[in-house]
Amino acid sequence: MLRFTRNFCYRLGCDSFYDVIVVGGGHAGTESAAAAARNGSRVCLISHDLTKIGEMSCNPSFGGIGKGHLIREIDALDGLCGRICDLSGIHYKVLNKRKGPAVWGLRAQMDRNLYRSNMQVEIKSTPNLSLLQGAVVDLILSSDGDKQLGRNYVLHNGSIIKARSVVLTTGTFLRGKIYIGKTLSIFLNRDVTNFIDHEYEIMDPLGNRVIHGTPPRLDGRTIDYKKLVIQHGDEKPTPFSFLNRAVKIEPAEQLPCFLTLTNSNTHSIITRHLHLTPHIKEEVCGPRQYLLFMQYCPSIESKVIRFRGRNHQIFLEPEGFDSSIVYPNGISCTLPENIQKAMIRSVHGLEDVEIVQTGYGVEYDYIDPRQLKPSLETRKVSGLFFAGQINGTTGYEEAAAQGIIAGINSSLMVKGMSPLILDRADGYIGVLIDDLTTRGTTEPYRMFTSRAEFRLRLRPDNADLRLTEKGYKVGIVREQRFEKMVKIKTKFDKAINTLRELKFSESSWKARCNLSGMRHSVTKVNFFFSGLEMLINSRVSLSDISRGFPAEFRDIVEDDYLCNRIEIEGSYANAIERQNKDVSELRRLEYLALPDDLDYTRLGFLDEEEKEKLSTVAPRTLGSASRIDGISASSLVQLLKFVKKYKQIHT
Amino acid sequence: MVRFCIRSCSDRPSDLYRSTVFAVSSGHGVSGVAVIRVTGPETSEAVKLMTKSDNLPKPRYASLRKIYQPSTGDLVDKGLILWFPGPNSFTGEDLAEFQVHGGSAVVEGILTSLSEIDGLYPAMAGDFTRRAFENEKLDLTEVEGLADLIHAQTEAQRKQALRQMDGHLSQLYKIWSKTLLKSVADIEATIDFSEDVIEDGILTNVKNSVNKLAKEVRNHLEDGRRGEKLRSGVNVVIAGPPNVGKSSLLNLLCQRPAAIVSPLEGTTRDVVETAVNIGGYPVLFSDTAGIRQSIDPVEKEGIKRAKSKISAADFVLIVHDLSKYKHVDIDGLLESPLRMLNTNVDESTSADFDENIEYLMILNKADLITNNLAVQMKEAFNTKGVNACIISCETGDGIEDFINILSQKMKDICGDPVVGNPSITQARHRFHLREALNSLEIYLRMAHDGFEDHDLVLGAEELRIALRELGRITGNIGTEDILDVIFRDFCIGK
Repeated sequence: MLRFTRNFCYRLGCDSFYDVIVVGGGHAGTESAAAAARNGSRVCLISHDLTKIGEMSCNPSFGGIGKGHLIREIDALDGLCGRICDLSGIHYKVLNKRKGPAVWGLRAQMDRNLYRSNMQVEIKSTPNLSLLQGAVVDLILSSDGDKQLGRNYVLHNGSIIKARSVVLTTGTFLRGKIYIGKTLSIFLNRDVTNFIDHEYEIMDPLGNRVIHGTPPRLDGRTIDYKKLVIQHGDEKPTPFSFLNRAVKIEPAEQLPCFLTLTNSNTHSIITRHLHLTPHIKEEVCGPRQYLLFMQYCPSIESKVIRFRGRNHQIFLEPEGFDSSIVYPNGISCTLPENIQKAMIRSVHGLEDVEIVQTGYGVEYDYIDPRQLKPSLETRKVSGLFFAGQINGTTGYEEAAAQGIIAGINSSLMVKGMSPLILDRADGYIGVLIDDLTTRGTTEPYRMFTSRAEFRLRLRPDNADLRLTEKGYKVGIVREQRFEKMVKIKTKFDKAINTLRELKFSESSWKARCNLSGMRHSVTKVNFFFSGLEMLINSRVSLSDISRGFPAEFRDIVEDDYLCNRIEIEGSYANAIERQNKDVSELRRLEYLALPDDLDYTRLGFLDEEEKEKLSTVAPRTLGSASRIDGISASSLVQLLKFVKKYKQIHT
Repeated sequence: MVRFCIRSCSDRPSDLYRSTVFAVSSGHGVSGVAVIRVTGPETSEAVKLMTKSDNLPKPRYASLRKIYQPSTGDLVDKGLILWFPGPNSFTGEDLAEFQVHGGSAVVEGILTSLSEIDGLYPAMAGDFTRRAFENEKLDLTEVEGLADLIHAQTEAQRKQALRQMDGHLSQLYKIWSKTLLKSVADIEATIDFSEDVIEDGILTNVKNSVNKLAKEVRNHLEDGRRGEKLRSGVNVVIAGPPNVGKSSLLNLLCQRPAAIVSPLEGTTRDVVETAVNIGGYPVLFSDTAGIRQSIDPVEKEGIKRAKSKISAADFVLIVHDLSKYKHVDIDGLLESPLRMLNTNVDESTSADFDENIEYLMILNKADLITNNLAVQMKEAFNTKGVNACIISCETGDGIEDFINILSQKMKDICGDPVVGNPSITQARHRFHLREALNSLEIYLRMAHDGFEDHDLVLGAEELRIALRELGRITGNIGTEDILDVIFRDFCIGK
């Protein structure tokens, strides 16, 4: 049960029994609640402050390399963040444009206020979704069977909210503390100790305790922009959502960013005051109970320590049209206030800058995500799901990606349906969740494209073709989006097939399509090339090919959007074909499901280390068992036996 | 309501991309008959290629066939082939069994031939069982029993094989992995952190490093030739001055009078070759004419042939007559064991031998000296750290030790078939090295054209494939390892 203090109740009505309760209104919480609601469940989103829903608490941007992929995938599943971004973006830039489209990083600066208000409008207008303001103080398990969630939840003052499943997306609130320098500023969520104790009881063992730094926010009116390098967004912004061909805010109205660098003065100010920052000090002398040098989101302190003598970039990012605040990306820190000021003023162009808000450190626990099933349901308590930063990730996109999956699955569970599980060949979401639930993470996990084995097929441009149908089948993608995807897919597939079937020698291609300056493919020494293979060549476009075959491509040649997508597919077609063997190997192992309740400690053929690892992770399939370090092949074969048993019982 | 944890939206995985795999299924070491199994969609094609025939053997009958190496057309063995078309086979897929002679040379030959066929891969641990299982061909007890069998190919075994590989080789593979890991990390850093990492220089460094690595792997693949030696036999040449007992030694080794022996110097004039099995390894012994100054044109030709044999030898047995050394003076013998063989016979034939030729000193006619002296001689050699065997072809003394030492040498040259089935290890290593090399070469061709014309992601993919292939030999290299190197070497992150 959830017990919480009720301050404000939005659209609560008299209906206090829900299918799904989502605790937390951050990026995981909103996606979760909306996904469950789209799926037809009655959902209640509880937040301690409803005005903070959709708040971007850290950097004012969405996307990036790997992260942009996640947004596209969330959008393909009819999630929110891609569409909300396209309503709120004020500076769009695709990163990595010089490299292949498989690693293009869709990214945009947001107007914080716009993002928050657009998200709130979206959430408030979502059917089946109620909002409730209050602090959840307890989670009550039912008395019948200790592994069942109570199906009812209690407010602090005695009011009870009942639901059949619960998604916890409480972010950094697990024993959360905020520091400025070494001064403890506030305890987050101080009044919910019961709840936290309960979480400890449920989630055991814990993951790690970490401190994140944040940069000081600057007053943009005191920055000397004339001295700085200006960075414009793309002339033609690339929308995040598959539903949009253009973004809301016209390119001409979009705002620029600026770039500056730290220098040796900055570095010496930092090194002289390292003893005043909580996380560096602990690293040097304390027991290593905190994870301090977070590689994936390093503070300026650790960058200066680890890479001496190098200047570090600071991106000065606008926070919105109506805000003069500037976010200096690249110098998150936990230094005391006066030192932050000295440090920032040592930087070129920021000599007279005023700090609007001091950078602070957030210290919190995250749970060991290996206690979760790939559906993000806890293994200990059925019906309880975890998503977001609490699972040991960092970033809005990583949180939202887990949110949508936890939301879908909490709703599917209520309906008695199988969960939606994406594998490593389905998408980055699959990679993210598989990494978390089978390998765990020793520091807040961030998405990189290098984590994806099947990077060539998991591209931002084809996320809809990969995922929308899967989402539609389980009922979280709405009709309109599905139809739109099907229309594209039909044309797309037809063109790809035509291209596959056209096979000519290189000279014949050149003659028919009047190609000049073309180099031939490196990976193949064949005499004949299909049209698809011709597209591997960066200097051959679909319109070149359609010159030779006007009839075949008549209906798409005018459609730049579609042509572009086909060209991208073509440029990777050969390499993807080569990977298909690996994909089907992966899927074959994923098909072999292990029983959830297998007691590994009683299996004699496992050694002690294997028992421990398998018990911690409780792999869902033989495939995920094989990805745990240190499980021998012969043990895997023995485990086949249990797959067999399981299949016999359940089929 | 029971909730299944079987994938919600997946049907049975399609067979479209199922690979074809092969493995020795008759256990390790030298046995009378070895069984090699192939299963998967390409099996029938493999059988046709290996038998140079378009007709498959009659299903489920044992058919005697000549088996060839498709790439060279060489005959590998004559053996039984059993053809089980799916689904009525152990795995439920097309399956063929090659029952061939159990010598390591033959097994190695078959495995090499199979690995050279497109679409065939060495089976990974549990592959056959898993297929059988997926195709509903196994019951529980069978799975259990097979687990032991498969143990042969487990991670532990892989490590053991790596350990038992000579130290130099395993060290080499590890260095390669490390070099490549760095290149992969560099390229991945430019992809994942393009805002933080300045590309200039990185691509050039990676290109140089990959180029160097590719060269080394290529040379290594062309050099080792161990498998080849296993197939064709190790060339061992018996050489030395005239009348020291070289031909007697040959006759003793092959247990028959293959060469004519007499007390006269210069009896052997041509090269006499005999194939002998030494400790399970095929060895081709060549008895040669004693080397000395001679004016006899026939003997001169014999000596010339002897010297050319020595040049091409994998291993040389240098035989001396112990009775000619009345006291412990081995310095002359040892000064340069091969110099003696370089004695100018004729200016035109005097090619100097490679000082690196591996050899073993055989001191014959031990029966003609006192035991005491023999012991002293032996000690003198030991102090000098020289391998020497004191034997008597006449009495057979010391022969056993000699054969043991020789077997050990052959093992070093060919690899050890008893430990973890090295012919598999060997073929597997070569397979993965070839795949890695192939990817490195594609990368280099792209890098040569430049990554303005080629997608760097496709280049990176080739390096990732190469790293994965090396990882199959040295142990898996995961994303976390790559990320560790990236974050160690680059300052990254906003």
